[in-house]
Amino acid sequence: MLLEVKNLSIYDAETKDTIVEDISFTLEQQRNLGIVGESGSGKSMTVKGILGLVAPWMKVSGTAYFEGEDMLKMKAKAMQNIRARHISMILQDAMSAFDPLDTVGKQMMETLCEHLKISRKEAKQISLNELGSLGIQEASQMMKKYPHQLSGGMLQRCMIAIAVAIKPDVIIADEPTTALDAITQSEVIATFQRLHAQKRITFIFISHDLGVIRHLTEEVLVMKDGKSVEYGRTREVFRYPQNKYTKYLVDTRLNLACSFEKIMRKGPYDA
Amino acid sequence: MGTLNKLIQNRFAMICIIFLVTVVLTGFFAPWLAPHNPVDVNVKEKLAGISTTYPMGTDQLGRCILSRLLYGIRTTVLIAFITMAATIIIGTLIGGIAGLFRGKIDEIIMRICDIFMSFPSEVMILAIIGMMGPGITNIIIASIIAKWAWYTRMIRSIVIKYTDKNYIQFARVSGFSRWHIFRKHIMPNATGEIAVLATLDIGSVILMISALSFLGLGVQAPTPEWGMMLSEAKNVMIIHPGLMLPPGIAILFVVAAFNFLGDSLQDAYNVKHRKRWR
Amino acid sequence: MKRYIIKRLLSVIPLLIGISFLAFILINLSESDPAEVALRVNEITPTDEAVAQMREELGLDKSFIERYLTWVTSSIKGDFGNSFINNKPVINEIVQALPATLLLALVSFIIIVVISVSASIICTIFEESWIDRTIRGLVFIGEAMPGYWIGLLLMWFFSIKLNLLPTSGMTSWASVILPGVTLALAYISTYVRLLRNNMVQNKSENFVLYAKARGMKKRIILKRIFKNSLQTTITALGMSIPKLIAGTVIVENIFAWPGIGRLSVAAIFNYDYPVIQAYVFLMAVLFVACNLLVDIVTAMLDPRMRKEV
Repeated sequence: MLLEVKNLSIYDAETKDTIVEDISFTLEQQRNLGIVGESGSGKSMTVKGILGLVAPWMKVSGTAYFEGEDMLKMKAKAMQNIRARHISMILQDAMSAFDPLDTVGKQMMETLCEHLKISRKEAKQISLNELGSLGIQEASQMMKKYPHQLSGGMLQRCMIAIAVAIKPDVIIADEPTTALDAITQSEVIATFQRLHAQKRITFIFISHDLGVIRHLTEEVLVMKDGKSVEYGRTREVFRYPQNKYTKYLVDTRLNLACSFEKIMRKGPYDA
Repeated sequence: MGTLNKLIQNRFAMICIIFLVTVVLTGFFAPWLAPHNPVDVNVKEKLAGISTTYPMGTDQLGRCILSRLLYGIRTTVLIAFITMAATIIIGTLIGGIAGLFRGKIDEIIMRICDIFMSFPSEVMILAIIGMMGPGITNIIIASIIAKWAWYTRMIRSIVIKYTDKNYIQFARVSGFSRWHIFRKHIMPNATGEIAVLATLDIGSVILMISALSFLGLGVQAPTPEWGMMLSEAKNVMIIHPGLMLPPGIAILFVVAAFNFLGDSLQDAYNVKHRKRWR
Repeated sequence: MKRYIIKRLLSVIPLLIGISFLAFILINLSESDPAEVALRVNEITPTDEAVAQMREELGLDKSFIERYLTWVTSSIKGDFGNSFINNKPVINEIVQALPATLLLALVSFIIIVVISVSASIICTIFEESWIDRTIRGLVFIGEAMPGYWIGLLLMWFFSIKLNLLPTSGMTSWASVILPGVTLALAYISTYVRLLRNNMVQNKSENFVLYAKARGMKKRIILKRIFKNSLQTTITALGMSIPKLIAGTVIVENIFAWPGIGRLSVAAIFNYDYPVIQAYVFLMAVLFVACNLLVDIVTAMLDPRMRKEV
């Protein structure tokens, strides 16, 4: 067992709202988890809460055991260590995820130097390799660019490259496909599949796109209004949804999923 | 209604409101409340300490400090209110025209505002007073000229914000006149935001008026005014430093109350900026 | 970048024309006839003949536009006419008083930069801690305090009570301390508030969230936050320079500091119009120049601006 979350709740002391209520799930080695739900259902908040990435006035309660330690009770330094080596996150909005005043390459290298304790030269080489294996030509040119000069898809791949280079146990991908066009989407999905198979990385995918979740995950957690409405094996949840809301989701999003499957069947590289 | 509730819940904001209302009423009833005539000179009792006849003592001419302070509300706060009201009326008129009609008129008005705004207000006020001479009327005119551009611009953006809202677009399509839409739909919504702007700014107007009077460029003697009281206190600072306190503290409290109220109003109005300050 | 600077420089031209025109209108607001005033202050009886002669001498008989053009061209040359009071060229008086004002403004500027930048950095690092709250409380009080009152209180405490610093004038190096601090205090609150809010706002930017998510150290993240606040900081502090120079008016009068602020207030009391006009023109030019400079510097710092335009 990689990660075990129990009774996670997040309370906003400012607005006095409960944003996430009583969420529990477990993440097993090599079994990807999907978290689905409409926007505002608390999916992103749940993982941000676990990683300690919420605003100071958000009170997180419950437990989240990672390798026998409760992440919710960790000191800032230990949490930073977890985020650095063990659980990487790929943010939803790639366009604004990098510091606009610095080149992307510098920010990539900075991360690698810090976590892998390697020289800048080595960090550069690793970055180039990772970017290359994500299908980016002229990666060295790209690393010299500032975030505003690159597209969302490119920046997303930079985030993936960083996450992969660190070789974490878990990668959390928050809406990894929403900001991308169809072709890039399928490429990114293919990359995730490859990484999952080759590098033995376990993923948590957060998405409102059921197609992505169905394709990439073994377990699924369905959320609505901050609460968990259904949790189980992806295949079963999709085939025999127990909850009314899940049923509704599956029915209405079927079309979306179909179009997604069409893209996938074509395959990213022979498109 | 939510806005009002939020404000009532903010206890400190309520204290500010009560304080400011008291101040304004005290100024209004100053002739009945003040123990002495504020301009009555009593050379025998000059620089007297606190006593039952003079609750706050007297100044270098033997005038009652408390009475001067109370009458000072009339000058300082009243001038600030007049300035603010006139500025807002001008700003609403011109900003409203710019925001409603857009196009060329808007363009011209905004360019003129640009020019006025790139001119430092302190210098502009000094220039106007310098050329027109010191005095109350001239400070008011000077402050209005120095401030109108900023208000025009802010009010224009508020008007535009509301004009772009759906129901107003709808009213437009339904063929109501611009004036009708402005009066019935935009103004009621915009009033609150304009009030926030005014409350946030009135403190700085009070500071400016008193500063000009301190320099001798504003209210002329013997009219009691807080800034001028400080300037008089400066002359007897060595022998009687206590005179500097009452007018200074009065300004501090009134301005602080307005600033706090302005901030609270702003907080109550837009949830977005919550949790940024204080 | 070059193109941006040229474009920015060109955009200043209409603004300069507008401002100079506004300045000219402002200095022609006078209710009394300048010619008459010029005669009166020199104790010459303003007979019709004398007034007419003076009007011609001052060029008041020409049309508005003509007068504006002569005023602009001679102002650019530094010719502001002669003072009504002592008949000396105004430019000489200004040049004489300017260094004192610049020294005062420089001292305040240094105090403002050091205190407001460090205070807002401390507030950002320790957001919502007691120190952040204390600084914010002080800022709140500072914003409501009249600057000249602070000046008087400081003067009383340090010069009269403790007898540590000179009360007024420009007698020794210590003379600049009190006016400098007073002037700085009047502006510090505004800048601490502005910079602190900007930095705290940057803290909730997405790039900070991602920097945390990729496990960067707190120190590196803070560095990124401050670097991103630099632009606002430079804009705000850059624009504070002309504001400081304009703000010297009150401080110079409290502490009898022999600068242009005191000169101009004295000119107002004496109806010495040429001095007031020169002061207004100078301030307007200073504001436009600082504005321009700040824009160019911030553009140079931002990679998003460097390539564009």
